[in-house]
Amino acid sequence: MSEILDQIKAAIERQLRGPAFSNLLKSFGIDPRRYWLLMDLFHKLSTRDEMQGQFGLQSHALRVSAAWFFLFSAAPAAGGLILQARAWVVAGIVLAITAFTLIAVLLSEAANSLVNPEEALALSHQPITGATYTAAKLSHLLNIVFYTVVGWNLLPALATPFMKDGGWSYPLLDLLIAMTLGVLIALFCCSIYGLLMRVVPARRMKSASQFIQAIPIAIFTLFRFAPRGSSARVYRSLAVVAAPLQTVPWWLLAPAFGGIAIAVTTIGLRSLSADYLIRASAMVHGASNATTRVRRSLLGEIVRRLFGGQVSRAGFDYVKRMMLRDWQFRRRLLGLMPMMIGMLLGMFGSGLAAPFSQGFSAAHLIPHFLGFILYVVCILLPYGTDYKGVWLFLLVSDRALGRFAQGVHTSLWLAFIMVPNVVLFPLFAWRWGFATAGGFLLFSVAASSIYLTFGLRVIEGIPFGKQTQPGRDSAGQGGARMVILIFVTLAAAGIQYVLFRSVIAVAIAIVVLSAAAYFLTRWSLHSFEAAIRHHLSSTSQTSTMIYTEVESG
Amino acid sequence: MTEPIVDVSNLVFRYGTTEVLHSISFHLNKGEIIGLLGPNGAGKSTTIKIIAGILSQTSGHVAVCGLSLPESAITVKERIGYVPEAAGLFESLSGQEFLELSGRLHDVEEETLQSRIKSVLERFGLTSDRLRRLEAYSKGMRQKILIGAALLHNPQLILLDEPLTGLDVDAQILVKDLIAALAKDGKTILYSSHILEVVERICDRVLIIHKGNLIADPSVQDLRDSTHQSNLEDVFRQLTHKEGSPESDMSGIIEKLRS
Repeated sequence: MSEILDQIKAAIERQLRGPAFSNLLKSFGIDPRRYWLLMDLFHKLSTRDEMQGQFGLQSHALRVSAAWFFLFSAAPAAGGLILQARAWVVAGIVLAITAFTLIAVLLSEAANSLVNPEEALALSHQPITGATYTAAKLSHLLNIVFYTVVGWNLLPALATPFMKDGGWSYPLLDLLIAMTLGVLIALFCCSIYGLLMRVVPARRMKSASQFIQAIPIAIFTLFRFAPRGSSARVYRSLAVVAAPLQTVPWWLLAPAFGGIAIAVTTIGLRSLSADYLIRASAMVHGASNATTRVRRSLLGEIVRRLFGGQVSRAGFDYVKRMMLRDWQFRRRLLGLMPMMIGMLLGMFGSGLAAPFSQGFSAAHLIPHFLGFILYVVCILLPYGTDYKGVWLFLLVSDRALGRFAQGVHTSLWLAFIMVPNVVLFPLFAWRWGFATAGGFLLFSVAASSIYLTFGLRVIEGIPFGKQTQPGRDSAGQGGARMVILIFVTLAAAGIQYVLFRSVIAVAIAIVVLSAAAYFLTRWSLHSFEAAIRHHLSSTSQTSTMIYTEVESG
Repeated sequence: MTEPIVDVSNLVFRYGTTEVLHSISFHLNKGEIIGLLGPNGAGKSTTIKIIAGILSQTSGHVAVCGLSLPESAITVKERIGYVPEAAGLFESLSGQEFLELSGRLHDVEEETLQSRIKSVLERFGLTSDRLRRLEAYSKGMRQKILIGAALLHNPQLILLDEPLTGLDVDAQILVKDLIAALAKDGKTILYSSHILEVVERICDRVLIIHKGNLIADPSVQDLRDSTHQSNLEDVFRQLTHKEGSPESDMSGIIEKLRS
């Protein structure tokens, strides 16, 4: 079976490298010879772990995420069959989900490919046109399109013939439309950055791209969690704005919109390819003019005195600063930010009843919400843009690593548990009274700390010391872990709801949770320290790879 | 005679099946500046990494300050300063923050650390740039930060792998003076470089490694005398160059380029 697949793959590759496709590339101003040279280079770099940040080059990650989409798509497919919905309605819904997924993923991936192009610096002096480089660099996005489209649409498409108004040609038609839409979305996402490069200075591109990446999730969050009625008001306003268009016949409107979209995409793509390699260096060193402030941190001093001296302080300050500044970390955390803000808005929008009131209060979710975020942060923490700086820790004595881990823990505990709870305390005290707010704060801190203890166990080495690996945390283990975590947090929130019917029970729970957090933290810190040691040990041996002979040709 | 700061005997190192260092032996004494020379890929950086406790030798004995490696790597790391060649940095940190991180990781007291950082930044002319992120630093400025970071914990042994890379003339003079002053203060310095003129000028002794073998370990003067050459470059060429004159090699390349 795999032999046949290999033969098909080889045949497709022969066609793609043949004269017909070369002529097509040439018509777009792409040099076919250099295009394939670059494609082979990127493939080689990716298989040798040099370009792990590119999701589209990670076939394992793509397959796993497609499997997840396939699993989720069973819901609309089954729903359509059971309810005997019209085939085009189900296909339309799945297509919309596919489009949203693609926009969210491709905006982020295109940004990572274009705005943080480390290898572009090595190639910028070579005689490669911008069109050739960007085409080769972005071709991997088509892999994402393929796997996402197939993942979401295959099952519903196969089910459409058995739905109302469904025909036997529907599956093929559905997949074709979805694939075309996917390719158009990919081109559109790339063109956005092309347009952005014309209006935003190169050194600001990193920040601008982060803003762009947040838009789809922000829109989703706003509609999902905005106060009741506001979504309807937005729809009504949009309807008023679009009202004049209703008088225009559809055969005129559709080509007009299509034409505008094609024109914008073309201008964007042309703009992207025009002088991309010249701008690459300025983009990579985006924050060149940024300066930092010298502040003698009181917290750093406290950490030094209480948790293991200067080394602990080093861990505390290092993580605190890098969380705010590291491009990869910020980029990946950004996806969570709108959801966090949205959930907070939703909580406060629901009135935020006191936790001891008989009904379910949104306050019961707060400790678990913080714990959830912390856990995700811990998963992301080992990966950073400047992972090659990890050599510095090779020179640190092993004795110091435990205290460094303690500093990292303190930094996370303060930033994600203490600060939010202290900020929320005055509001809670005003709404519920000082005693209730104080009790809740203590409970919240203790409960969130338990999450952190488990979070520490998933930090696989020196924070920001590894190259981003979408194959590991974006799809496979990460996806399964997220689902389990959501169930755990919901179950914990449920238990908390029952617990808060008795003040005594809550008091006992605070003591028990605090003690558990203390002992679990000690246990987890050992594990974190071991992970750091293992990471450093493998880093020090990495150079052995340079003597590993690679296949020629 | 005092115990050597670094004692290496019969050091062998293999990357997989490839033997990179073939049973080399040497020692470094207190207050000495020793040049480590050799063509690219000779095993210089590997030797330095083993002494720094970053790599473990395949066989042989390596001791730093009387402490055997890799068993006592923890203590050894507290006593060495290391400037790697072409090191990556955490670019979003500022120069000041990077130095603070490095010093704190070596447990230097805060007050002492701040005064040492101030001094390093002043001496290297980086005071006005100390709050800029490292991504904005030039190659030479980064190198200065790396050298500064290696000195903050006042190490006994300083391992310098191509420390003058990217430095301007003023900074090169400064680093050379600094090396001399450190040696005078009793520090031992192992200095790996391709700039033979500098090695000739500042080093007491040179170790020449060629294809993983230590082929010379005398003083610079002894080396010149024994090889009857007037400068270190000619000595180096005589000891490490393969058959055929350099001129004939180069003319071969030119021929190929013309073809």
